[in-house]
Amino acid sequence: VPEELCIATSSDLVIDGANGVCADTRHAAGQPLSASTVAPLVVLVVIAAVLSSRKVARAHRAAGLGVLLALAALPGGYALLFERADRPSNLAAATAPIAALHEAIRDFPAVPHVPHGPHGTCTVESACLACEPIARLALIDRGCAPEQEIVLHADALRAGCRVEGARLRCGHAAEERGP
Amino acid sequence: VTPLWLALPALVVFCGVGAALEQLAGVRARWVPRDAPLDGIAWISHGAALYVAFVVHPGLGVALLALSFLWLRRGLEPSMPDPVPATSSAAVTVALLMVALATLAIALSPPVPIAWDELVWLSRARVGTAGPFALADRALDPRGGLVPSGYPIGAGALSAALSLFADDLRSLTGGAGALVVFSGAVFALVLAESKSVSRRVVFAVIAATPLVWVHLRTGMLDLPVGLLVAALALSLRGAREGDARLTRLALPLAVLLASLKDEGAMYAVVIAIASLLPRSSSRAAGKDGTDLRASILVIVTALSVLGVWRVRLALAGVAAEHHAPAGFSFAAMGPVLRELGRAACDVRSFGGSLAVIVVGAVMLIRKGDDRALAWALAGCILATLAALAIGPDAVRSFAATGTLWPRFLLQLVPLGAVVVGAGWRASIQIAADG
Repeated sequence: VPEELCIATSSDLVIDGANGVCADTRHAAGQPLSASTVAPLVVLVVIAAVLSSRKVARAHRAAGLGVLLALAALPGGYALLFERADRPSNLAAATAPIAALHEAIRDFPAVPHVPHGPHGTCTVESACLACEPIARLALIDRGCAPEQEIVLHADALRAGCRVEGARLRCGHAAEERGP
Repeated sequence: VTPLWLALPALVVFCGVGAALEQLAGVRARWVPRDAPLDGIAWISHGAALYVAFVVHPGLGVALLALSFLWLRRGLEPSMPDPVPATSSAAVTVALLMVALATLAIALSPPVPIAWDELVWLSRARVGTAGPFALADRALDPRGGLVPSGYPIGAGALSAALSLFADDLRSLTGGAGALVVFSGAVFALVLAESKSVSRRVVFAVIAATPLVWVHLRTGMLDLPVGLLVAALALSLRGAREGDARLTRLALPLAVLLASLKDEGAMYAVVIAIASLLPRSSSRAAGKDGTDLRASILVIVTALSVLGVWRVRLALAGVAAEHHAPAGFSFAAMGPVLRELGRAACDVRSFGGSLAVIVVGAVMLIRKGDDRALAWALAGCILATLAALAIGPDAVRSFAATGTLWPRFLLQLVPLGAVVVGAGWRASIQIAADG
């Protein structure tokens, strides 16, 4: 799987973070199952079946099972420790934009607690898929004044937010971002 | 740091309610003192289940209170006095150590939700912070805009209580983390007290599943549901072994499963049915009928919790957005099955655990004395496929686009690990018997 398909950014974390260690299944969805996809599981099942045979001594079976589980967990473990956006060395940096966007949206509405709809009573214009559940969490029990509007551009998680009059703008419009 | 300590007041209250219930039912005096950790988690489970039942509908709460009392006082009677625990206290110590390590891993994570569904679940919990019944009121309001509509409310209500009804991000994340820790503690302590399961193998299989470590640090519900499913299976297995200490957990676990997620009720029913399958030997084998009563009770309770909520939704005019049957579709099953296969082949997410579970389940069905566990696992998969065959297009779409099966398989990893652990112990027993 090419490196860019693994969970690389905070946006990827929100969209795909819990669907797999990397986003393998979602990115390949709809394509036919190839031999290279199925082969690792088949090999693992065959090895596990051989280890479970009564011909294998109990001590060897225990060691074999341990080695099998440890070796098979290595690719995923490596991705967790060194590749994913939420790897230990990058965890704070990956979660900070999510917390910042949430706080910016939550602090914006002028009318407290007017529950109505997934975004409270706020108008949200969003070009940012990963921002959708964050906005829902921030606004679920919030209300906005009629003239208030929240605009979430595609790079909202990366670029942060600013208040422009009655509008909260997060990220930059496409023409502002340049090529 | 994720503030898991915020859950302590709610856990103490739940524990007090559960202890009072068992005391009133005359159960407590019969337990062995060494069982303190299991007693504690059983009391918390009773209290949490009663709280969730009251939130779903006060009438359901009253009914569950009466049913729990009768079950503890009369239903478990033939299994008492309790057998001498078959496991050493070292097993309990190891279980507590595992829970402590998991707690540490969650506590040291930043208190920020990172996954889509985690954010969605926390938004429900945030509504629940306005009071115990606030989430039910909002969910039953057709104009309330709780998206997706019609979902069970147990997780949000419980999570809000565990976050001390505070609505800031840190507290909400702490409440969700506490729910994961609670589920892990239930599973670990029930496993520690279960006979004829290799606990080392179970922990090894779970720990060697990389996706478990991803979910451990999130407030996603898949891992808690999976841990409670496995705990329920072991609890009902305890009923067959005549171990009332484990059997008393079946009722609260059924309530919690049915109120956390829709598939939770399905799992509870499947496991209860599987636990009634005949075993190859007559050892203990619930001759007093406790196992039959426990299984029926689990089925009735799980369906009641789900049914009461569905009836309330229907009366309020709220559509179950993702859970209304769309009619049988054979054609839709092709992509669904293909993506199930793809998810099972995702070695980066599941390591070798699914391969070991498949082999362990086949071995247990062929040779072991615990076929019920293996059939429960197979039954959960078949029931999910059947539900998708008649299920709504939205959930079929989740399955066909690769976002449903990885999490579904993760839910079954703890039960699968128990199957491998039971198969392992059975193979040793067979070898010892010559």
